Formats: sequence, C-alpha cells, structure tokens
Amino acid sequence: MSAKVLLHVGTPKTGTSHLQDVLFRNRERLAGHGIHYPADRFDGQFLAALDLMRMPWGGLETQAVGAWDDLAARVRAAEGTSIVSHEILAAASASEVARALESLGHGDGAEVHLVLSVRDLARQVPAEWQENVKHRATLSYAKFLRKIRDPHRNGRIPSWFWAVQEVPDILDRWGSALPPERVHVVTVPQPDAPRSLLWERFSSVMGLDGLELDLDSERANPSLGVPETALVRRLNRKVNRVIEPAAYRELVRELIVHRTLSQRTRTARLTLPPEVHPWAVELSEAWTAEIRDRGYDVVGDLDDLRCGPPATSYVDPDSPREKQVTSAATVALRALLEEHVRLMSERDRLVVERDEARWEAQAALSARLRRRLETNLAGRVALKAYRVGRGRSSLSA
Amino acid sequence: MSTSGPAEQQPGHPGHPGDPAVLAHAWVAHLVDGGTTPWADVLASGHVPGRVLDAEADELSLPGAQQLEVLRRLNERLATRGESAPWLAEQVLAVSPPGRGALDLPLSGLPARPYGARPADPARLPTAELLRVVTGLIADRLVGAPVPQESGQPVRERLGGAIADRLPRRHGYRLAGPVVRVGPVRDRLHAMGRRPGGRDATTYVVGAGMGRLVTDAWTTRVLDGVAPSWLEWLATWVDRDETPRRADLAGAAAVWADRSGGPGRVEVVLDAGLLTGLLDLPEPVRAAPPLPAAAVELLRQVSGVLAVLVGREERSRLLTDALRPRLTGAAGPPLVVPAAYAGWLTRRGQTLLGDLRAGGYRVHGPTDLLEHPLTDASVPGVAEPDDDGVLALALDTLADWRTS
Repeated sequence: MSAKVLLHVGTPKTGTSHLQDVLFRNRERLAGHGIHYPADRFDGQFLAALDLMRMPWGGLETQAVGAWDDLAARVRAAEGTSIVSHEILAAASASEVARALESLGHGDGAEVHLVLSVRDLARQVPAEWQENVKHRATLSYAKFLRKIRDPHRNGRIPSWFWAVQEVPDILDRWGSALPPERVHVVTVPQPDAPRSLLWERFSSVMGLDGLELDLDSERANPSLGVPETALVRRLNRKVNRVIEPAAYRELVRELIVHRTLSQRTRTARLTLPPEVHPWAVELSEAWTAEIRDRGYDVVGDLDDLRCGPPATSYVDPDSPREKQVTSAATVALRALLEEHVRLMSERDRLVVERDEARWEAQAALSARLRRRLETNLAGRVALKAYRVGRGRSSLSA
Repeated sequence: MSTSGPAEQQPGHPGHPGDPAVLAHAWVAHLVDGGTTPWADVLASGHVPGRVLDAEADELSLPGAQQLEVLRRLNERLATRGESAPWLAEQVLAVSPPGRGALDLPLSGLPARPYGARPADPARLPTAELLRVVTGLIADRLVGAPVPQESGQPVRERLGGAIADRLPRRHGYRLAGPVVRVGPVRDRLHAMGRRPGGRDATTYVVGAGMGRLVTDAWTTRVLDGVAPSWLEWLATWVDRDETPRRADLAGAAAVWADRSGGPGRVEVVLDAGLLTGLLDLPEPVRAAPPLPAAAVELLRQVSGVLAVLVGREERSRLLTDALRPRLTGAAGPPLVVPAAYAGWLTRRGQTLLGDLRAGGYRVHGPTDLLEHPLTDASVPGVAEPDDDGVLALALDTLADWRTS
C-alpha cells in the first residue's frame, strides 16, 4: 500500500502534458527514490481516467477497459509515494470521486493528497475553445462564449467546460473528503514569469525537488494562433465526415496542429473579447477569495489566478485575416505533402525488402530441394530430366 | 412530523419540515419506496405522500436530479403492474451517468450553491441527460448477464438416427447477409435440422429493397461497434456517393462466389419469404420486421457505454444476443432513408442491380425495389430516431428486465 498518494486531477491547459511526460519518462529513476508513476504507456493514466468515468473518446475508450482498476491496484501494491495525474479527472462526478479515492486506499491507510493546477479564466476560456477545435469541433468562438456564459449550462460543451474549469466546484467534488492541508492548489504563473517557475511548483508539491530528472519533454499541448485555429475549424467542417478518429488524431491533431501550425508563434494569440473580459475578471476574483477562505495549501501565488488586463488589440478568430489563414493552410499542405512523400518512400523501401525476402526464400527452398533430390537415385534422375527439359525449353525459347 | 422546538418549526428555518432540504430527503425516501410524485408537486405542496418530514437536511449528500427522475419514471412503470423494486432504486441512485454531460444536478428549490451544476426541476431535464443514466444502467445490467444460448440440437439429431434417416437430405445451402435479416431464418433452419454447408451448397445472399438494405446495414454497424449517429453515418456514404459496405449485395455475392466455386453457386434473394420455396421448407419463412428506430438508437447509445466496460467481441455479443432480443417486438416506426437522399438511394440501387447482373448471379424477388427504392415519403417510418421515444423504450426495457 502506498503510504502517500498524490492525485493530480487538472485542470486542462495548465502544463499537465509536460508534467505527465516528465513523470512517465523518468518513472524508473523516480521509482529508485520511492516515487511511483504507474503507467506502461504515456497515456496509460488517461485511459484509466476514461475507464473511471466511462467516457467515450474517439474510440480510445476501447483500450481503457479495466484500466482504472489496474492503476489502483498498482498504487495499492506500491510502497512509498504514488502519483496519479490526468486533467480530465476534474470532470468526475461525486460517486466517481468516491470510487477513485476508495480504490486508491483513502480511508484504508493511504494518505491521499489532492493536487489541482489552476490558471486564470482569461487564458483558460480561449484555450478551451481551441481544445474543442483540436478535437473536431466546428462551432464559432462567439457561439462557444455564448454557450459557456449561459447560466443554464445545458449541452455537452458548457457542461464539460464548467466540469473541468470551475475551480471551487472541482475542489468541492474532489476535496470535500480530505482535510484542507492535503488539498494543494498549484497556480500557473503569469505569462511574464520565468518558464521554469511552473515546474518548480509542481516539483515542490510532488516532492521531486533535488532529484535529477530529465526535463526535456517531448510532449506538450502547444497553443495555436488565431489564423491557425480558424484554419483547423474550417478543416473540421470538411473532413469530419470522411476521416475516422484515429486518422484525425495522427494527421490533423499531431501532424498539422502540434508539429506544424503550433510552430507559427508570430501570429495573433487567442484572447477574450474585450466585452467578455469583465465577466472573467469577476469570476476569477470570486474564485480567488473562495480558495483563500477554504484554507487550502496554495503552491504559488493566488494572484496568478486573477485575470490580466484585456488584450490591447483583440483579433476575432471568427473573422480572421484571410491572408494569414491562407499562409497557415499552405504550411499545413506542405507538411502533408512531406509526410506523403515520406510514406511513399517507406512503401517503396518495404516493397523492395519484400521482393528480396521472397527471392531469398525461393532460392533457399530450391537449394534445399536440390540437395534432397541428390541424395537418392530417383531424385538424381528426376533432377537430370528437369535440367534437360529446362535446357530444351531454353533452346526453343 | 416533528413538533418540538419553536425556532425549528418556523417556515423557512433550516430543518423545519417545510424546508426544501428536508422535503428533498423525504422525497428520496419516497422514491426508494416506489413513489411516483414529481418533485415540483412536493415542492409546491410542502408535503411528501406517506413520509414524515424529519430528515436531516444535507443537500450535498442527495443523488442527482437526473438519477432521481429516472427512478421516479421507473416507479411509474412498475406501479402500473403493481410491482416495486427497492434493489433497482439502489442501483439507479448509485449510478454515475457515463460520458460527457451534466454532473449530478441539484434539485430546484434547494438553497443555491455559488458554484457547481445549476439546480434543475427533474421533470424538465433534457431527455439526453436522463438517457445517459438509463443507458449506463442497461450497460451495467448487460455486463455479466446470462446470454440466451443457441437453440438446442437440430431436429435430425434430437430424433435419433433411425427416424432422422427417414427425413430427406436436401440440397446444401448457405445463408449470407446481415445478422438482423438472416439470423432469424438461420435459427429456424437450424432448429429444423437443416444445417448449412456441403460441397455443392448454394449460397443465398439474402437482401431486400435498397432502402431496407441501407437501414439493415446501419443496424449491423451499430451491433458491430461504436457508431456515429444514423444521419452522420448516412451522410458519409451520400457524400462519397457510395453504397455502405454492409448493404453491398454484389460485393457479398462476389466474396461467396470466390469461396464456393463461382457465380453459379450464389443466388441473391431480395425477399426472404422466397427462401421457403428455394429451400423446400415445410413452413413459410418470413422476413424479420426491422427494429424500431428507437431500438436501434438505444443499441447505439448502450454500445457507447459498453465500449469502456468490455472488449469489442464481448460488446457485440452482448448487444446482439442479450439486448437485441429484448428490443425485438418493441412498438415504434422503423428508420427509413430520408426523402432528401432519394436520388442517392436510387443511384445506389441501380448500380447494385447492374453489378449483380454483371456478376452473373441469379436474382430472386422484386428487382424494382432496387431500381426504384422507396424512401420515407412513401414507406412508414421515421427519418431519424426521436430522443423521447428512445428514453421511453430504455425505461421500459429496464423495468421489464426484472420480470422477464
């Protein structure tokens, strides 16, 4: 039984991919220090979260059968500290939270700590819309904003947004069974802070300080600019019906978005429209006060949760500059062509390898047959007849 | 009803019998006992039938409005049969709705919390939220449920050697086509001792009119795995101007021609009733009626939940052999291809007929159903499932489960 379990449940877009990649790639080194990150693949704990919440996810859920119970069993079997981390856990219902805590050993000897990383709404709202677009959504930014600001919160998009972003409610659902000192709120620093500061905060709360870890993460969930996001949204309209989820993940999300368009960092960034900004400020202020009152362990500065000033020059992703969208489309097309050429080369190489393998197999078979025939009289006669026949055929040809 | 303490008796005071939180706890107990009173009536009257209002008020421990409403609607169904099911209440109140949607919703009328899901009148919840609860419950019920076994030994074997030998041995056959069309015929033949196969067997590819071929292909797609919505799936094929793979009789016929010795060994039957004569059966075979649109949609939604609970083969088995039989015979109109796609349907039917003729297969039945397929403008049915109908069927299925 793990003596201590650090359960990091979100929120999305707070550096979670980087954290999880560092934990996964360093898991053996961490285990040497009594810190366990149970996962056999990078998305192992994501699958466990899907299983816990019975959440469809573009077909990935079929790989998640039994994954939570497996994860919980590994946590219970480990000694020392175990870390569980995935941001979609923020959306767990009260009964799923209860099941999760019990299965990880809460109330049965394990000291469970909750970790929630948080960022201000002025950055989270546009980031969530962009995540929706990266997951095949086609709704406009304006419609997204209308939906999430509707007090009724009816429908998949607002219910998901608030489930994973309403910090006080997430802390209610996940933290009400724990003493406040075991609930750790990690704030994401403001954009002008040193890049290493967020990692230092994660490292501190997870007890990783002083350990030599490889921090050069290969994975991140980078953001897109305004024209790039507009392009992907338009692309979704055209391809959603014809591209299966697995192909979309590989070609659109990985190749076009993550490896290509996210490299374009000079275009305008997504922000809140000026008229929506005061709403986000008011909510963030209320959340900050609430968290302060509850007496949680704050790692960082609660002022980080306050929204910065509104954008000085807002660029509407629903009416992007067409020249920039065209430029982004050209870059995406080039990336697709390069990938296509690479796959063609790979196909050609495999065809050559297959033909060589066939030829070698046939040659080996012929040699074996010849050797066997030469071991007896009948075989030698048959072989001679074959050679004579082949010779005649050759002559007549 | 509590009568002590003057302060606690004041209306509006927390813990007072008229306090909505106290009412809510009493209402939950009422539902667990099989009650059917809507929450809005309780809130308006300040009274819960048959309950004493002295419960501790703690709204955080209440189940979600969606689970409570599902339980109330199930109780209504059970009450009409004079039944109650306390064990069912326990399951309903404990289930967490699968997939994306609202978290556990607080009841309207309770003190508003500054954060979290907004309070809701259970009776006015979106149908989709109630469906999440019911499909989760059905999926839970399916996992580990005993699946009906195949019918017993064939007649020939059950009769024993001497008598069985007197039954004539007929020409061999095989049946090909979607399980929803071929399954019942195959089961019937099996029960009669007519096992498929044989060296000189003719393969009968069992089809239908083009519209039914498409809706059957959709049903089979749903039984095979996680599927998008009917209209999304259909639009994909229309956009491509192609025939859905599972509706392509010519493709199926070609596969069987390759396996069984050429097109002469494959015949296409567009009306399953014709199999009676083709197989020389003593009793007429009738095509199974299509499942109602609501039933197919329920299968689809339950399939989405099962995908996280069991592996692919097991999921298909549970849907086909455990849930589908419970939905067979349900009332309701079947799906039909929307009239807006009539042109596509006609093109696909004509192409299919051309492919069958070009392949040299013998075709039995009305080929005009391929050349001039009917759509929802002329065939009884609905162009898309209706959520309320799906919910009603899901609740009926769950309520029936215990008694069937």
